[in-house]
Amino acid sequence: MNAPFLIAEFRTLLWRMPCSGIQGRNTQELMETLTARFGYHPNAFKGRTNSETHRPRSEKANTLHHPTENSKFLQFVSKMSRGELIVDDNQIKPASGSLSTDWAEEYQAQHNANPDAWANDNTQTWVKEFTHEHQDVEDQWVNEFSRLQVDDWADEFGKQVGEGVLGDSSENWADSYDGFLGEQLAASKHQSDSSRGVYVFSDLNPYIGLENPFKEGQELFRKGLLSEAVLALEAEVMNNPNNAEAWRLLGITHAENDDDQQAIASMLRAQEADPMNLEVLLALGVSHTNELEQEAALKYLHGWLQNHPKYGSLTSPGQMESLYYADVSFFSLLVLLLSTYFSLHLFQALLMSTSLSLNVARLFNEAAQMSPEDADIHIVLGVLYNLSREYDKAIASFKTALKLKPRDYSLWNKLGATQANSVQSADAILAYQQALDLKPNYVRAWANMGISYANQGLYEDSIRYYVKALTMNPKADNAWQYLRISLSSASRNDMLEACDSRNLDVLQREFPLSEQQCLTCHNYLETPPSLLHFDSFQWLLPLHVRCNLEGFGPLKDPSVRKFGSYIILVLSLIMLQMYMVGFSEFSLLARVHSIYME
Amino acid sequence: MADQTSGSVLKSAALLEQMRLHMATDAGKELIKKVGLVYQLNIAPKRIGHDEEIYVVDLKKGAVTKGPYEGKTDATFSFKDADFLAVATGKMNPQMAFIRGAMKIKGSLSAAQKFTPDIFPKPSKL
Repeated sequence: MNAPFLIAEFRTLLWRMPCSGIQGRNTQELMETLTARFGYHPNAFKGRTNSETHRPRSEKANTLHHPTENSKFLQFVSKMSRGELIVDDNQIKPASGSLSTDWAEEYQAQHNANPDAWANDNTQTWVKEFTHEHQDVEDQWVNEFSRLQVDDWADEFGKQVGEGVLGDSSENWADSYDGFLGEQLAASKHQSDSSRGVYVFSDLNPYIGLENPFKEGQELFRKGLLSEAVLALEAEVMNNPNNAEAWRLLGITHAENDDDQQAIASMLRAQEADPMNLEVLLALGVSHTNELEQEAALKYLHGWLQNHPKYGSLTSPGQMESLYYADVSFFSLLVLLLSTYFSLHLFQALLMSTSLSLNVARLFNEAAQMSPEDADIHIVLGVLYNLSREYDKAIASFKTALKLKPRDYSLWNKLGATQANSVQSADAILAYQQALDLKPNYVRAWANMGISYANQGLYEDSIRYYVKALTMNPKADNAWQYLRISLSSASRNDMLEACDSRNLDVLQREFPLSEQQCLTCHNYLETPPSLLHFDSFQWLLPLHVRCNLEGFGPLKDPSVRKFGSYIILVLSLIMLQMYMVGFSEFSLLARVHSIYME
Repeated sequence: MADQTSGSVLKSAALLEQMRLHMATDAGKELIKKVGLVYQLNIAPKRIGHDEEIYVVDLKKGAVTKGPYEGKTDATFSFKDADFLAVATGKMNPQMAFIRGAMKIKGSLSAAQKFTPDIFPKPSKL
């Protein structure tokens, strides 16, 4: 037998020990089993259990209650220990010199005193113990063995498992566990990276090495090719990591592409490069609001106020910490008094909401009063009210801002999202359409449309919008998950596989969003309608649910119905007119005819 | 309109508030017809069982209330804040959550099986 084989087999046995439940037995039995097995043909212990290996050659086993040098293995081992053989280049050569110790017996003695050595699952501990016990012995073999093999055991084990030593079930388990671990690692790495605010660059960026990727990026952003713009801007920030404007644009692009994690990461870098930039602070506040990180969002919005040239005077350093507590002391007294009469819980809630409203919003309201023509302050107010879930006030703020800036597509999206979150989904859809009019490739708005339809239970429609959003940005993980939910709610389980494998072609073919559906929505609106329109036609909307016009696609769209009602009105007027005209014409004709006849 | 969840430190509070408003809509009424069970959610900010906030999602009457339920719920779930959000938005499959121990269930298993991501309305992004 050559050395590698021996070593391999030895290791196999050692690893097999704990698995076949021999752990905890004393060394004698162990040696016995070792030798018993070792006496057999090597192939005997591939995939066999304990009992099967006790075959006719048991006389050998029986004679081995006492470790003797009779077995080939022990002979070999003792030769090694005595230095008669050396492992050299994977060959065993007889060596000169000998040691007086009988390795086997010494080991035996030492291990009798320490019977629990094998109780340890980790066989490497055995090796360590083994090597430790024999440090004093000039034992080349032991040292060589331990040095050579300790690190490889895991690999060898894996190989053995692969060969089916432990049976097939463990192999499958190992594979699936590996897969699970791998997925966990990848997911947690990505998550920890992005949750820590570390930007994750894309691989295979074709814009690296281009002359002026920043200009390219700006151009692509303007054209609305968001995913391409991301790549170009990434190339730019790789070349110039301090380009605050590039980071800011990258952050905005990610937000519009519906990726808040990356948006936050980019915006943080932009903030590093340019700490006073108001747009960056606002964007950070918005993204954190989306991620429901209340405190962080508040911090950034307060920072916006602080750094604003006009309103900075309203704030003072260290105000942030006191914001939550400033008026509380006064209020708490009041609360204590009143709480004796009313339920404490109610007042606690009231207190929290009032403290937020009073302190933070008061600050911003002061700023708003300072200059009411500034749309930005209203936007910030709107985001704040979203945080504290005072949706009506948020909607009012956004509408005020929209009066001042009617062509800001992201503002329309904010209005829509606020309305959707306060379950005014129909209004939300109208607002999103406004946003999409202004920017047709606004992935976030498309995804939000899908969400609003899904929240209303209109799953088939929501699927189309999700697919549309995903066509523009296949990396929008949120949208994939929502798509999956909508697919199963709409009982389209046949498409679930396409969704899981992220097969956009199949999904696009199956769920197209016809241009017709989009155009009829709002092509008659050349200018943004007055905001009154939203409320006045709301009565029409519940109609569709009552009438259950499931199969009739275009009619489900509220703007189409608005248009339809106009059309009906106009048509009826025309018909009336025609009738009247026709009547008179007819009489005229009759007269002419009669004259002619006569 | 008093917002019951405004005093909460949980991220899930926002979603539950949306759920509460959702109940009054037609889609919510559909849900009541489809599910018709009472779920109790014990949501903890950091570790399951510590500083839990208890919400009751009553899909029989169509209400979301804070505080333990007087009566017998069909199923009680215990989550961490982030895990509840993951399950409600479909990032994590409820079965997977259960296997990983991110979600603990008490009560009738058939009721628990009806607890799927599609009963929750999704939050829109500003």
